[in-house]
Amino acid sequence: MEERILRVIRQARRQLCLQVLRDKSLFWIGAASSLAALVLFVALFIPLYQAKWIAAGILAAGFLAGLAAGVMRRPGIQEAAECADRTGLQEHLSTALERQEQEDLFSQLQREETLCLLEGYPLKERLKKPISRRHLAVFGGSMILSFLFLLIPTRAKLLAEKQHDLLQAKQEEIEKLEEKLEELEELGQLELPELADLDLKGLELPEEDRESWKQMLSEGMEELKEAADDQDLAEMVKRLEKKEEQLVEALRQQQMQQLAGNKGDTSQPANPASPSGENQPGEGQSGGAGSDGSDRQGERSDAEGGDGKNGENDQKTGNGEKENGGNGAGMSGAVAGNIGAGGIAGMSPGTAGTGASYTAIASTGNPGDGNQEGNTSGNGNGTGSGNGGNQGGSGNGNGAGGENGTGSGAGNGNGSGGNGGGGNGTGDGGGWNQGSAVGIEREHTSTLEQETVILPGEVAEGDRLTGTAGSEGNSYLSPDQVRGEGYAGQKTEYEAVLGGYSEKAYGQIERNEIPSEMQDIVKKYFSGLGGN
Amino acid sequence: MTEERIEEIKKRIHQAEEEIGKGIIGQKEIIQQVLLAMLAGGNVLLEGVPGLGKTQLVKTISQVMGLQFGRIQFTPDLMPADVTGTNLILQENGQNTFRFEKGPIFANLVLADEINRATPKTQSALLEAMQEGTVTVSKETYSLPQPFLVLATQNPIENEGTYPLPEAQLDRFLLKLLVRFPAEAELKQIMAVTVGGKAPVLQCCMEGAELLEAREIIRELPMSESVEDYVLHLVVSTHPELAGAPEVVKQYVTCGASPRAAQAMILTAKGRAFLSGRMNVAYEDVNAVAYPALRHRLILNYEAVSEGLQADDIIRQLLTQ
Repeated sequence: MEERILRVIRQARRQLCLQVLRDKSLFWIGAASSLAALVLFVALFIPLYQAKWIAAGILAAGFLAGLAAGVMRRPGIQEAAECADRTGLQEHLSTALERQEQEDLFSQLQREETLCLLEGYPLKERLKKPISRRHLAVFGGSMILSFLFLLIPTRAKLLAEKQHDLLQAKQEEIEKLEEKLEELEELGQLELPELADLDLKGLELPEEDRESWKQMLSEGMEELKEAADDQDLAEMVKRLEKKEEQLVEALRQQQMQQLAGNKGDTSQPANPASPSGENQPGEGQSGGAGSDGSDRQGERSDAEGGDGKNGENDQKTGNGEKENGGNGAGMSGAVAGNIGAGGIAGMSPGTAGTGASYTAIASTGNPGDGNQEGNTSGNGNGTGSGNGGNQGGSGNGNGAGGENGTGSGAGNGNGSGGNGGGGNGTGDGGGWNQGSAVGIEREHTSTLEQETVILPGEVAEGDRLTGTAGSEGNSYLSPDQVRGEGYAGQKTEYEAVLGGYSEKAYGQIERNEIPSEMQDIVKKYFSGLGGN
Repeated sequence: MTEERIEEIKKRIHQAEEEIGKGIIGQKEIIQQVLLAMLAGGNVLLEGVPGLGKTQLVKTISQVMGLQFGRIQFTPDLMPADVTGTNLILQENGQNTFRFEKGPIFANLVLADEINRATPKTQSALLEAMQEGTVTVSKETYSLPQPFLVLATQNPIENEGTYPLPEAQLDRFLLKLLVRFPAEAELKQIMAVTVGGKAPVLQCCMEGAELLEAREIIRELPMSESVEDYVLHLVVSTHPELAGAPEVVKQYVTCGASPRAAQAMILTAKGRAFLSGRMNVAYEDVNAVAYPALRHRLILNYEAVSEGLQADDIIRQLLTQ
């Protein structure tokens, strides 16, 4: 008996649950459709590109909320019994349910009475609850309005689409910038397409530059976000690109200086002395000067080619004209140190401080002494002493010259020349000068190349360009990446050019183009080398 | 108690109801509610203008139900002893002795006619009898015959020389019934019975013991918790001082119904369900008895009186909420 009553109540509950689910869903989706219609209506006047998606989302949310509400508010069995009682059962079911386990007379009588009442009682029909017409009307009306609002073309909609396109463009730009930022942060290095041909990957970006990059990118992103229209966006992108170019350029300049400084720090061997042994060169060093050069970034940024000639001058004069020294240093720290200071110093017997950075001479028979000033504004001093054979001596000196630059060199050496003397010497020299050319190659000399000199204007073979860069970096430039200045010229046996050089020197002496006090020195130099 | 006995009692009550209806024309609702009060074991306050058959109703009921009838006509000079009875000095064998002379209250069914015309002191003489079913005189307590109930009447329009019943007295009435003027057709029947000399012969359908038996049945009748909660909620909602009281109660009610109101509603609702042939109480039973059970327990404030509101108006709003 109790089972029959319970079965009836369960059936009623199932029916009520479905009805509640239906009603709640209809209510919520009706409310959501109203809201969606409102959103679409607003989108007719206010640019709102996502309006239709928002409306769809609201509808979906309303439907889900309705389902959730229906599930949450589904009636329990007691509530179902009470609902069924309200159809006209006069609390028979709920009372029977409550007293289903009581076996007293009145409870039994009540259950019997309930069963009698349920016989033929159209509970299912009585429980049927019609769909709320109001909710249905709200839902239907809202949906119709929504479709109408969707179909009506308005200026706001067009504007919204335009804004959306703009937003997408902005987003793309922002993503690009963010990618750059990520690369910057992950690698800690900057990869600049503009410098790709110079292969500067290995260069480390200074912290302040990295920060400035970040700041620039961040500011750019913010500006992009605030862009109002496509024109504005285009201008911002343009500005940003310009900033980027400026920064790249500044960075390149800075990297150039950094490279130059790194190279200049490198100790280099001096050019060899003369093969006869009379002009034994010392080991030239160009330390310090190069770094100075990098610190003093200067006016001469167009040292292409001309520096090569200067190098030629270095070789030609060999007496340490300060101008040459200065230029040599200016080409690149490394090359300048080599050519201007070390090389010439070793090749200038008995001359100390004759020019910019070409001092430190130890030669046979001409003990260097004294201070000599450069031709122009250079100055130098040196001491030398020599012994052996007829002459011997050693000298050391330093000099500085300035016109385009200053150089300093110091060398000491001793040797014997002439009559079987030998000599050795050390020298260091340096110069710094202006110029931002990529003078990143350093001369690598060794005792094996003591008999060679550089041919001005001729590019050396590739293996000559693989010297080790300065202390900070590693140079691995290939010849075709070097833009002329700073790389070593093609070398040849010095005897092959000695004649030409000495001829020119003597010609200048004859034309008094060389100061009188220097003429003897030049003569002695070339005579010492065997060039008459 | 068996099912057959329950059915027998039910049948007797229905017979009594029909029989009373023969004597009292057109007051079926009043008759049923009086029967409900008798089944619940409570007292009834009948309020109506003179001539509506209040006294006749009580007489008819007592006759049909086979109950001993007692009548007290309340007047301003009525003394409590006139109600409860008094000790008389008797001389027997040369000695003076006291003998308690029972008052009219010692009956199964007491008609307290125009109860509001007596002083509160005299009215209070009924308190113990109505609540406890006993009378105490000179330290002696006398039990009243069972079943015992008081049917009091009062005239709502003649206020001069009347003493409104105190709240304590009112609360002891299970129901307050408003006797309304009969419809024209009913009035015609009344005239035929009373003037035409065709007074019906009433039969006793029920005895006092059966009434007591019916009271037991009523108390056992199943009532769901939801219905019981509904009753309690109704009573609680009549209290303006409680949180959640309806606005109408806060505005117009000074004092709400007592727990006796809940008892009255539950018992009379059960009685109504029983008389309706059901073995459980429904909401409609509660709603039907809410008016007579609550109307005399709600004390309205001056604002309600000034606006002409009655307690029934407040109850109606409570029931529709």
